[in-house]
Amino acid sequence: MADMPLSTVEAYLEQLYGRLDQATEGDLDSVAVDFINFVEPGRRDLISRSLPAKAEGLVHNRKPGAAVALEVCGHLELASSAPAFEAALENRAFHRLTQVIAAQRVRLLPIEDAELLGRLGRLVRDRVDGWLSEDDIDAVRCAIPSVPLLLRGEALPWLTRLVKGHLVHDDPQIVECAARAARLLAVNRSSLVPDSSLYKDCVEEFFRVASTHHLVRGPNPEQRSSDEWAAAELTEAIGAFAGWASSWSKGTPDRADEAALFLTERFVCGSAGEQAGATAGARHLLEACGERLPDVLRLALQSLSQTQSSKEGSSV
Amino acid sequence: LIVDLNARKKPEFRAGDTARPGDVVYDLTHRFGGQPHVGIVIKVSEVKPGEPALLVLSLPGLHSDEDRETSARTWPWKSKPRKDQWKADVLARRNDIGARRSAEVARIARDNWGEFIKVGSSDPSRQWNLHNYKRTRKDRLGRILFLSGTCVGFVEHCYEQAKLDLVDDDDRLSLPEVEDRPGLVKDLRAAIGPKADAYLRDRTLMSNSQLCAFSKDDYPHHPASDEACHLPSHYQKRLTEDEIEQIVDRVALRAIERERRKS
Repeated sequence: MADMPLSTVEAYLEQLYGRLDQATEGDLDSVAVDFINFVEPGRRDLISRSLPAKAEGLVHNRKPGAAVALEVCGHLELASSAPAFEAALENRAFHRLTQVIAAQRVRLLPIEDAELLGRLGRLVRDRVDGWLSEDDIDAVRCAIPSVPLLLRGEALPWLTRLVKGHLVHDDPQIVECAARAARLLAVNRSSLVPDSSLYKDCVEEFFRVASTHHLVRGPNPEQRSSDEWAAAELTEAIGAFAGWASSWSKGTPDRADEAALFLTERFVCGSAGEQAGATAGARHLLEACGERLPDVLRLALQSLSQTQSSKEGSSV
Repeated sequence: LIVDLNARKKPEFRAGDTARPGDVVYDLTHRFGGQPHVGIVIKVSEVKPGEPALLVLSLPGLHSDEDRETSARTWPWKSKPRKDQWKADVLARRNDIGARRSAEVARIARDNWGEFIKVGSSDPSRQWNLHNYKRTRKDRLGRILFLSGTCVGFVEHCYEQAKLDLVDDDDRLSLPEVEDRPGLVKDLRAAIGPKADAYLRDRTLMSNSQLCAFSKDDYPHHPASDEACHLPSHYQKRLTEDEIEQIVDRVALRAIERERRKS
């Protein structure tokens, strides 16, 4: 395929488009495989001219092939395909796989327009709320990371609510996903505007919830595997948020001292996952305000960010 | 370090069986083309009271066996699995790292979980992933995320992202071609027919190379030195239950035929 003349490649692309039109849910996989393999050898220019319009048409006509078209648009980072993603996310009655892929891949589009980013972010957020009510964890897991990337600081109250709501009840998987998304937001500081009321309303709540509640073991094995990792994400997020706040506040916020203590305590008493989270959180905090922390806490964080754990594996 | 989970004595372990998040587990019983299926241990847990299992995050294998749980998620792997479960035969661990670094690998695996391509993964035998066993992309935050590939490619990716490279696969030419592995060619042809020929010249990472890395504690391991690896002898060839059943059927058929001729 790599050595084929352009006319043959164009003809093959037309053939793939035809298959997208005709694809049923049953044969979506084989079309996807052929399309994704076709995209690999650097045919971006050829595809980027026609695929966004094709994707939009498939979405409007409610064709299952839209799922593949959106996957490829995301893969090629085609910002011009945003209307197709928006249409797929808007229509709640649409085929589930197309919506999941739209929510998952929209974060790959290099969109600069803040208004469009906000619209897409709110659509994904609403879809996640819908999937949460349907208990569709797989879809939620794919979609949650898109929300902070699109909505930035606006996502924080929602993520805090997710953490709080699901921590107290029953689902560490959601806590893990939401805490990870919040942590990524805090680590990528340029995406958060310094805002003391946001810090007070959300981050302090996040901190309070994370440091006072214990995770509940879920009913199935997959959930049970998540509790340790939810705790790990929460631990790192606390370090990252305290670091974020320190980066724009003049003095050391009270929470930085408290976060340093919390991280040290988790490193000593927590599971291996929490230790890994505490280590990463300590790095964020040291990076942001190491010199402003009291000596004892700074030294403690420095040693835990460098030390290898001596703990061995857990017993079966 | 590799530990034979089927051996009666497990000298490498302290009291009882131990495993930690980030360890790697191989199923040598259900191999595809001689290559074991592989995943990353997320947790050791009891599926039911008194029934311990390793909770393993793995990608679908190349297996055409649709009966086994093959979607990309956490599944219980056991030493005595049900028919639809993967078998935990060998546990592998980098002995040069502690539990925390190992847990970082498991965190990376979970971080990548929401990124997998949702279409094409249930294509028969997933042979298309041989072509690109480790398809990744950089996101806006600079993280390198795993989109699709093979089970062994996923494990390799997670360890690389933790800066703990297992197999030196930077030079694609150092990897074996699919057609260098007659067993793989045979199983591919059985799974997808003549379409398999399109994949013969692909170079791909074999899970046996990774197992060799753990077995020799040689990181990053060079795939060219695979021949010098010695896995426990009973892993060189182990018949699956289906194979045993087929053999039993053949023996029974021959006996029936003999009886018929006599009569």
